[in-house]
Amino acid sequence: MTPVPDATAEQEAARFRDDYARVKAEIGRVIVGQEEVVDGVLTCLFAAGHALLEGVPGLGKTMLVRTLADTVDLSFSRIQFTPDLMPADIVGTHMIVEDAARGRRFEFQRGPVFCHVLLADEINRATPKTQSALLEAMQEGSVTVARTTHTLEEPFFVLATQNPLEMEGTYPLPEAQLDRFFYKLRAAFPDAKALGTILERTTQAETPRASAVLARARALEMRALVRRVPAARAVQDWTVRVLMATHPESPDAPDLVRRFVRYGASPRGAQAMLLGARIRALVLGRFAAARDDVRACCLPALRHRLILNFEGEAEGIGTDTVLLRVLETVPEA
Amino acid sequence: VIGSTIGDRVLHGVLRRVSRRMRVARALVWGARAVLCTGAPCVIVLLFVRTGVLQAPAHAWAWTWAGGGLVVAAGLGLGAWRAAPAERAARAVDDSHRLADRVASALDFLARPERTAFMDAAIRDASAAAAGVDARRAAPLRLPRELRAIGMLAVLAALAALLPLGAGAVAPGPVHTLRVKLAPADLAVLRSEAVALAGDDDPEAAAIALELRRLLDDLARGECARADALSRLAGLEWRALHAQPGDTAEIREALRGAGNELLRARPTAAVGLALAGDHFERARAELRSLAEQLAHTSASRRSGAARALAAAERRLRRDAPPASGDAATSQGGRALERLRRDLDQAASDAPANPAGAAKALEQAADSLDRMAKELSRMAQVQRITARILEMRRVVAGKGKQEARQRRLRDFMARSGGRPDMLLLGEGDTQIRALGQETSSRPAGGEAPGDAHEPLRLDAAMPKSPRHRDVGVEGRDSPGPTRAEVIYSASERGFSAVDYRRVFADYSGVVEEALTQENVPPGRRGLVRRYFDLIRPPR
Repeated sequence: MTPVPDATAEQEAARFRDDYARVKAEIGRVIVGQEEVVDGVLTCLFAAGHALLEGVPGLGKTMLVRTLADTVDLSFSRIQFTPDLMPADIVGTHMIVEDAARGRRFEFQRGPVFCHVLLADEINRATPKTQSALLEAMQEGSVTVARTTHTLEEPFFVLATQNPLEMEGTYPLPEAQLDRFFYKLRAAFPDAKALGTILERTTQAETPRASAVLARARALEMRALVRRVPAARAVQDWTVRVLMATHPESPDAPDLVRRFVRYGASPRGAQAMLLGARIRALVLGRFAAARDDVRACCLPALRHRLILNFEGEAEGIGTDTVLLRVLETVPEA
Repeated sequence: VIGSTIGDRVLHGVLRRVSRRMRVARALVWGARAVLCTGAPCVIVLLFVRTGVLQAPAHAWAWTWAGGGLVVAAGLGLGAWRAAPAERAARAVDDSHRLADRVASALDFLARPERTAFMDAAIRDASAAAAGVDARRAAPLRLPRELRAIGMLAVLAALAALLPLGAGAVAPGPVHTLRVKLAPADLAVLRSEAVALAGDDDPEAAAIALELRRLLDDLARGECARADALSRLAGLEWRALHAQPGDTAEIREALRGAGNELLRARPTAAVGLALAGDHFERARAELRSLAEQLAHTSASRRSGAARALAAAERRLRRDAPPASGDAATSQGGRALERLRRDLDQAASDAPANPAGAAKALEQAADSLDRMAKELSRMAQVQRITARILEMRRVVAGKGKQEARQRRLRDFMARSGGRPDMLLLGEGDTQIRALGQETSSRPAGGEAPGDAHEPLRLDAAMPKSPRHRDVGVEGRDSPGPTRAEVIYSASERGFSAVDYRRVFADYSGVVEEALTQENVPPGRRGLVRRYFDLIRPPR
């Protein structure tokens, strides 16, 4: 008797893979290089997380977010964070509205947060009070103004950027807010070949523009599908061990962690690693997350969740260095 | 579900193959470790044996091979005993074929009671991937890492076995095959004895003497090992004992007794005098003369002769060696018996039948002649036996000296001493202990007479009140040759005193001194041996 395989899972996975590839290819029409960042942003999108993008100005961060919104057919808002930016400028405020029928009254005017894709540009330039206005929106998907909670429409995806060089007059994001970001991605400076391509594309009469290749509903389906991808017990255990090893008090922590780390990653880090691993497995044509996937997701998922101590900061030890050491030392079996 | 079942079979088939190979690989590793665990102590013990710290027991190699083989077999068995877990096999497959945890995850999903569609899809995916899995690649049978250490151990063992280490040069083995080299003086004395004995009339005695001479020649050339020399001497001693079953002293004593009895009658007095003085040739002639005169002698004189002959016969019967002894069964004993019967016959015939008595006396003369020859032969064999025993003692003593020297060499080699400080003498071993120099200062002690060699002596001898230190400068030489001795003796003149007397006087004094004086035990034997060597022949 010839076995009849249950093809639903395979088909769904293949469709996910195709859609993902189509979105990525469409983004690639506009964004040159930065594949890792694009993959990271898409992972955050389909994992229902938010991304913190770090890079020097001019690397196409804003363009990437705009292109993503265009590609997925989502509404897009951009907020340029400045020191005088107020929370109401983000979430919205009640304004006096007057019309003939109902007379003068207060009406809630939605802020730019009410969108699908929000670009929080140079988020570290706003005051902590303003930054915290994003906390509820990012975590709960809702905004409460004057005791009225306004639910944000799914998908809600925040992509914040920050400039690592000009730190004067900035307000570093508090740990609680950093933890809300699914990934922290680092935009690298493009190489000469990519730079040439950028010049070709952006100095011509017609600038390439991405078109919508993914409907919003399909994006939500893909989000749901990601959650159905299984992970073997051993993979989960290894993910937990990696996370635990980032804590200096853990017996599995390497010396580098014990010496330079003040606090290790939160449980959200493990969630981010495993969820990112599931998406990566689907993208690579597999049906279950593997250790390699977790390993690949470890840096963007945990690099902003580690808090170095004074010695680590003084020595200039990067969190990526610490995490790579952790991945080296944690046994896979 | 059906797809999962088939995937289950495929996966488990692959995992079984990989698991088997992992088990074999583990057995190899454990076997190699067992070889290391066994080999390392063996090499250490070998080093100890080669450097002389330990002595190798009997059948050491057989025990080593048996024990080592047992440990290695146990290592192999233990390594192959437990099956490799399926999870490990799955990990090996994933890692070797870059399957990104496909097989390990599928194995996990297969064990779950409830599976989602994605889990089934993962199992199918893993089964498809596992179909192309090569078990040899997943679990390669590599040579154990311990092989390098085993190789180094083997090289070390070979070096330890082949290179001359420390006490290797003084290992007990070669010492047993050392050639016996006797002192020239000893050899000269023994050889002259053997040459003299080789000309004996008795063929057996001559053969034994010839063989003894050959042995002495071999020893002189240094071509005979100690064990061989002792074996040959034992054989010669056995032959000599069989050639001389009794002692000549008893027979001689019996004949002297008979001679004393014959002295009591005038006609037989001459015969008795000769017999009492061990002059057998003269006694034989006197017997023949008595036989001729007996017919012309008066009856009273014949009666007196008959009584004397009967008394001599009785004396011979009384003093003759017992019938059960070796001497009685020897030719000497038989000749004595014949002589006794002839004397008995002559005693009974002498009063009435002078012709019969004369004939019996003639026969007695012949018997005495044969007995004299037999006694001479027995004396020669006794001398040969004495020489053989002497040689055995010398060779055995030589072996003890060598053993003592070997022990001292071992001791010096282990303690880092100087082997050149060990001097070996020709006749006796002169051992200079550690730290003693070759200057005029005596061995041990601050001054002469203070102390003595600590290795072989007991309490130091106290100085005599009349003690006087005399410095004597020694000369290392083999001593004067025989020609030099004879020449110097002719210059000074020969002694008029019998050497036997001189020897007896001196040896008596020496024995008395050895028992009464505080002579070190190690020196007593040497003194006695010296006097044995210069003892005059009988």
